Amino acid sequence: MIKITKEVIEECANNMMFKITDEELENTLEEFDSIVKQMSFISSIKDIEKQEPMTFPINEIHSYLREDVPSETIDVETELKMVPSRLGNQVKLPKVVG
Amino acid sequence: MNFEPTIGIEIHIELKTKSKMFSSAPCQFGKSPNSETVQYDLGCPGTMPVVNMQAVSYAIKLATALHMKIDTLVQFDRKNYFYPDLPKGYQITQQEHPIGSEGYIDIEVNNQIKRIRIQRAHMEEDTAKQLHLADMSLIDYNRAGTPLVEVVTYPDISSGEEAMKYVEAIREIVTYLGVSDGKMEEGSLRCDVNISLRPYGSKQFGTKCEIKNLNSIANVKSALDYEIKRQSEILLSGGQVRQETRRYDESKKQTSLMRVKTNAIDYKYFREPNIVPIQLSEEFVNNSINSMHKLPSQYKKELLEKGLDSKQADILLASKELVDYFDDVSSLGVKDIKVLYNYLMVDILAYLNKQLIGEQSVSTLKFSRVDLKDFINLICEGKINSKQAKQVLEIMYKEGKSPLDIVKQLGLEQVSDVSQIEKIVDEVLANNQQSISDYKAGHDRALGYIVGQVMKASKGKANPSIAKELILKKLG
Amino acid sequence: MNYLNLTIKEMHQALVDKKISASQLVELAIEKVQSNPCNAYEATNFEQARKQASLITEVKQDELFKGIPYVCKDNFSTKDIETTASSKVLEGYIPTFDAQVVSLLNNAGAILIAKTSLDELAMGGTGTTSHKGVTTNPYDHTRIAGGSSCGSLASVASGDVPFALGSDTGDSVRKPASHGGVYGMKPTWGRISRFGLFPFAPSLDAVGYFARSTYDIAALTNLLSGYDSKDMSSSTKEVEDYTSYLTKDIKAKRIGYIPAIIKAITNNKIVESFNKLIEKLKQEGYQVDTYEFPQDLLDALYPTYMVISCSEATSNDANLDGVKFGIKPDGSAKTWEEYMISARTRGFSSLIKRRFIIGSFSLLAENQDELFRNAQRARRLIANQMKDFFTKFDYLLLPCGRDVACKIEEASDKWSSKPNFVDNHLGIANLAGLPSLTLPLGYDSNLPYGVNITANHFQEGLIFNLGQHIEDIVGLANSTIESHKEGI
Repeated sequence: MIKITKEVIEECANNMMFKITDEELENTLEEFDSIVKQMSFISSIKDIEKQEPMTFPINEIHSYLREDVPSETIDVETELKMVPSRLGNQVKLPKVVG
Repeated sequence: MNFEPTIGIEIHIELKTKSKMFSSAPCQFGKSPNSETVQYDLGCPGTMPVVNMQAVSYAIKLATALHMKIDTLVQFDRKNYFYPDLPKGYQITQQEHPIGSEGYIDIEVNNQIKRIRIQRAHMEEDTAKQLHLADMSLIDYNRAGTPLVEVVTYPDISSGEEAMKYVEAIREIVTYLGVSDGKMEEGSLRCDVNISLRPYGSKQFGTKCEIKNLNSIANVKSALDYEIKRQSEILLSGGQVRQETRRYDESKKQTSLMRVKTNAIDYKYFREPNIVPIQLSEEFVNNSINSMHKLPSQYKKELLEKGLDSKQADILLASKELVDYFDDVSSLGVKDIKVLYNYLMVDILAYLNKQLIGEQSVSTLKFSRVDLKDFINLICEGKINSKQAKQVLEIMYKEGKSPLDIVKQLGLEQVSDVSQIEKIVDEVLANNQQSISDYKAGHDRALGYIVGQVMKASKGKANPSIAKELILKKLG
Repeated sequence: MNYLNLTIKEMHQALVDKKISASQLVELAIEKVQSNPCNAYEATNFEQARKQASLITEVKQDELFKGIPYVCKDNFSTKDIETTASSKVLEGYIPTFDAQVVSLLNNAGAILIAKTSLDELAMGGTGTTSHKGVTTNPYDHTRIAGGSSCGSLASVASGDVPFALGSDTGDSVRKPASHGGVYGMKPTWGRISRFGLFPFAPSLDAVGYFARSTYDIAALTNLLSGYDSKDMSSSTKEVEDYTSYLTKDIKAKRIGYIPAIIKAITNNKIVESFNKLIEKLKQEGYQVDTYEFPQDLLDALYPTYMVISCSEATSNDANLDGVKFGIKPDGSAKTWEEYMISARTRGFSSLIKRRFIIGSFSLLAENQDELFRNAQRARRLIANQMKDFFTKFDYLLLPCGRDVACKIEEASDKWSSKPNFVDNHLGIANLAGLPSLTLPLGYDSNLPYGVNITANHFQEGLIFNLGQHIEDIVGLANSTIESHKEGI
C-alpha cells in the first residue's frame, strides 16, 4: 500500500477530476488513520490472500445475449436539451489537445 | 552498427453489427451527429449494458480465423479514466479474460512465410467521435458504444514491410469474414504500432515509441520506415530514444511528437459488476464458426487448384466482392475458368467502370450468375466467337437476358457440325477454281479468301477453324 | 377515517368498494406531502398524479396497486421528472426514461406522487447529506431518519403514502425502516431489475421498498420481481406468489442469531424486546439458537463494505462530469480538464469527495490487491460463512443496530478506528446477496426500532412466512406516527 501523504490524496482527487480545499485535504488525511486501521482488519484475516476475490454475490452464470436489432433512438433535440454547452447538434467543450 | 526493429501492433476493428455493443442504438457510419444514440450511449444514470449477440459471434469468427483459443465464458471489465469522448467515465472491455487468446497469422514477405503471433483479441465499446476546431472541440456520440475487437500482436514484426503485410492480412480477414468494413480511412480499422530498436543479438528490448493516427495501410509502412530511420540515427549518434507517443504526418511522411509518456496511466480495472459471466453454448460457438465466410488463404488455395496462376488469384483476392462472384460463377460449372477470369476482369470490369451513376458493383449487373456461366461456356464450347461474344454481352448488360436466348434470337450460334460445313466448303470450292489454282501456286492469301467465302455463305455461323481445316484437307 | 393510514391491501379494498376514489386519495396524499415537516421530498409529480387518478373510474379486486399513491427515492430514473439523487451534480437532470420498477408500478396503476430525498447519491447512512439538507425522523425532528433512503422512510412512517421505493446497498432501506417503525425489504441480488436505479455499487445494490405490513411487502415483491432484458444481472428464476407464503404451514423453523451482535447492543429495551420475541417464537414451535460468526469477519464487515462500495462508486459516478447533463461547468474553462473539474468540484459535497478518494486510493494499481481485492476476498469469506450458517438455520434474526435513531448532531459518516459490526451487520445481506426484511419490533420513549430477518438466496417466501408470524406476535402492522401500538 502506498504511504498516505497530502500529495497522494491530492493525486487521488485529481484522478477523480475534482479539487479539494485545504480543509478537506486535512480532514481526509486525518480520517485516513482510521481508514488504514479499518483496512487492517481485512488484511489481518488469516489466509485472506488464498481466497478468490468475489464480485458477484450470486453464482448464476447465464447464457442470454441481446439480439442484434436496433431500437428507436432518442430524439436529438431531447437528447441535447440538457447539454450545458452545445453547438448545433454537437456537444461543445473547450478544445481538447493531445 | 545496425539495429533490429521490434514492432508490435494493436488493431481496433469496428464490428459491422446493426446495433451497438451494449446498447440497442443503431450504428451506421456517417449519420448526422448525435442521431444514433440511446440513453446508455450518453452515460445516463441507471442505464445498463446488455451484450450484443452478433458482436460476440463476430468476435468468435475473427478469433477463429486468427487461430486463437476461444474463452466461452464471456466476462467484462471496466477501464476507468476521464476523457471527453468517454461518456460513462469508463469503458467496458475484456482486460482479464479476452474472448480470444494465443493465435497467429502467417504473412508472406519476400516469398517467405513469416508467422506473427497474436496475443489477444478482446471485445470492447468504442468512444465518441471528437471534432477539433480552432478554439473548441465538438462531440458526437454516434460512435460511442460501437462494438470493437482489439487484436494485439506479440512484438514479432521486424520491418515496415512486414507491418504493412500484417495489417493488410487482418484487413482482408475481417472484410472476408464480413465482420467489419475494414476501412482505415473511415476509422473502422485503426492501428497503433509500438516500435523499438535494439542491436542485433541483444536480448533486451529498446525504449519503445507508439505511433498513432495511421489511417492507411501505406502509412503503416512509411511511418515505420521513417521511425526506424529516426531511432537509428538517435542511437548511432549516442543518444537515447525517449518513450513517447508520436503521430504520423502523411504530407511530410514523418512522425512527430504527440506527448512524452511519463508513468503509464492507471486504469484501475475491475470486473464489470452489471454483467454476470455469460457461458456461451457449444452450439452458439459452433454456429458462429460454421457460418464463417471463406478466408483469402482458403480461396487462394482453391483458385490455384482450379487453374488460375498466383498473380491472377491475388488480383481477384484484392476484392472480396469480385472473388465471391468469381467463386459463385465458377462453382456453377464453367468449362474454363481462365476464360471467366478474362471476361470478368477485362470486359465486365471495364463496363462497370464506365457506369457513372450508382455503385460500380457486380451486384448491379442485370444478368444472373447462371447467365454468365452459360455465356462463358458458349465461348468455351466454340459456339460463339469473340466478336459475337461482345455483341451478346452488350445485350446482356442492357437487358439482362439469358445468353442462350440472345444467341438464338440473333441466330448467332456457330455451326460446328462438320457435315454441314463440308457442304458449304464443297460449294465454295466448286465456284472458286481460280483461288484454288492461286493457292496451289503458293499464294497463301488465297486460303484466307476461300475461308472468307465459306463464312460469307454460312452467314458467319460456320466455325472458322473447322472450315479452315476442311478446306486444307480438300486441297490436299 | 384517515384513508392514508391504511395498508396497500386495505386502501385497495376501500377503492374497490368505492368508499373513496383514486382522485380523493391522491389529493389527500398531495396535501400530506406538502405539509410533511421532515424535508423528505425532492421533485413532486402532482399534476401528472391528478391526471392519472382522474382516469381511474373503477378498481377491480385483482388490481391491487391501481390508484394507490406512492413515492420513490430520487435515485430512480423517472421520465420527465427532475432526478438529482439529492446531489448538486445532477441538478437540472430530467431523465428521458423510467426505471423498470417505476414502469411496473405505473403499469399496475400505482400513482407516483413525489420523489424523495436521500443521502447524496445514496452514499451515506444518516439521511443528513442531501443537497437540500437534513431529512429528519418523523418521530423526533432532532433525530436522524437514517439513510440513505431517508425521504422514503419519512414519507411512509408519516403516513403520507402506504409504500415507497428505496435502494439498499449496505442497509439503506432496512436501517431507516428500523428508525421509522415500518417494514423495509431488500430482496436477493438480481431478483428485481436495477434498470433505471442510479448505481452506487452495482455488486451490492438492490431495489428496496418500504411498506407497513408483511402482506404489502410480499405483494410488492410479487409485482417487482422478475427477469428484465435490460438488466443482464436480473435473474431468470421463477417468480413465486410470495403472498401465498404468509399463511403457509412451513417446515423451516430454525432461527439463528449472532450473540456477539446482541452483546454489542447498547439499548437494553431493544435486547429485551428481542429476547421476548425469541421466547414467543420458541413457544410457536421455532427452534432458536446461537451462531458464532467469526470475530475477525465481523470486524472486517465495515471496511469490506466501504472499500468495495467506494471503489465501485468512483466508476459509477464518473459519468457525472457536466458534459452531457446536470450541473453547468465553468464556461470560461480553458481546457476540457478544467471544464470537468469545475463541474465535479462544485457538484459533489466534501463527504462524497472523501468517499471517492478512498475508492480511488483502493483501486490504484499499487494498492488494488491489498485493498480492493482483499476486500473482495473478505467478501467471499463472509458469503461463505453465511453458506455455512444456512446449513444449520433457515433464518438469521437480529436487531438492526445498537440503538434507536441518534440525534442529528451525533450522526457521523466518518470512519472510526474501532470495529463497528453492530451498526453494520445488515450489510452482510448485501455482501452475500441475500434477501432481508426489517420489521417493527418496539418503541423506546416513542422512538421505534426494528428487527431483521435474513434468509438464503431466493428464499423471500420464507422471510414473509416468518415475517407474518412476527407481525402477529409484535402487533405493529400499519404503524405511522399518527397511530401505532407499543410492540413488545
